[in-house]
Amino acid sequence: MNESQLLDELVAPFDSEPGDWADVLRRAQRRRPRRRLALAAVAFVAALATATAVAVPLLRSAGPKLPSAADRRNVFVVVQPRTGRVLIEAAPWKGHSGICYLFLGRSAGCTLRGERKTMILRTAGYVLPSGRHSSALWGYTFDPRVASAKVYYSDNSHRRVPLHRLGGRLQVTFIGPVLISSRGTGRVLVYDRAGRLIKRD
Amino acid sequence: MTDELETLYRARLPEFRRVASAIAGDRELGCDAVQEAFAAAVRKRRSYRGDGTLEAWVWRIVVNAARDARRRNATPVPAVPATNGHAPVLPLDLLTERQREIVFLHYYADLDYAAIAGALAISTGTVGATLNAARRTLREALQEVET
Repeated sequence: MNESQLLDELVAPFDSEPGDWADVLRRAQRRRPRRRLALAAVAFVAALATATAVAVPLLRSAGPKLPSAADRRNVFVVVQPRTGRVLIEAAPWKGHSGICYLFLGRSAGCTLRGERKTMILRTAGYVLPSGRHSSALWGYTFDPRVASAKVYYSDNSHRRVPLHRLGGRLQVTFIGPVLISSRGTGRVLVYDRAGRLIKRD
Repeated sequence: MTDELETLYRARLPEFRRVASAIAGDRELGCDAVQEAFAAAVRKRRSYRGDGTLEAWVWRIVVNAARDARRRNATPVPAVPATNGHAPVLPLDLLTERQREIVFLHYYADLDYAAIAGALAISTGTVGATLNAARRTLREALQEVET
């Protein structure tokens, strides 16, 4: 995609039409109410999870949302079965070949599709039920070869990383999350069906 | 004066709407902002003193109206960058507000540097430097490295 294509997709041209000059004149004659200054008070509440098995963000009340560029008529969610917690929200990216996502209520964005595109990301700021601070390793891939993933910790232990495949208009696989505080640093490796390494973090 | 504003409105409405929609982030908001902007231009037509072209004066009002529309309808900031720097972002989000506006005015309205400078009350030199920087950023962002 080049710059012109990007801008054309962002806002398509408008048809040549006369517009509504009469409406302009009506608005011009309306008195505009004076704006008041409003003071907004924002309260942040730090939530420490005790009942859920998945770490929660430090700040709950002002977190990101699924980007406005998402096609909200086609939202997919991945839910943790045991707790009912929404892990991932994803939807097609309006006007683009790609997706928008909200991961663990913390990381949000939109990304263009790529045939072999695999991204592993790290988001800090989670609190475990134990009270310890943690980071989450997670990611996504458009690569249809991806069949499994593992996280390797600094003490050489490893475990499988859950994959969440979303079909339909999304055709994306979300990787993780895994938490990495309790065993130091972690690294995610992604494999195909034959066990060949496709991507390492 | 009102006649001249109407002539400008009818001649360049698609361009005004496209730029305003890009700044406001929504086509309907952009169209409404253009209506409000021209209404404001009619109301304060006597304040136009001939410094610069009428079109540049109106573009300034349109840009301000679109900015106001965006702020009134702002959604929460979407992205929290990941610590490893790999958080995907929209290419245009890599630009500053001023860079985006200059890109929109240049591409959607086909304004030259002088007209953009008049619309944004900045120098033509700043327009050129800002536009070059913005285009460089977009070029780099659009050259995605496949893994």
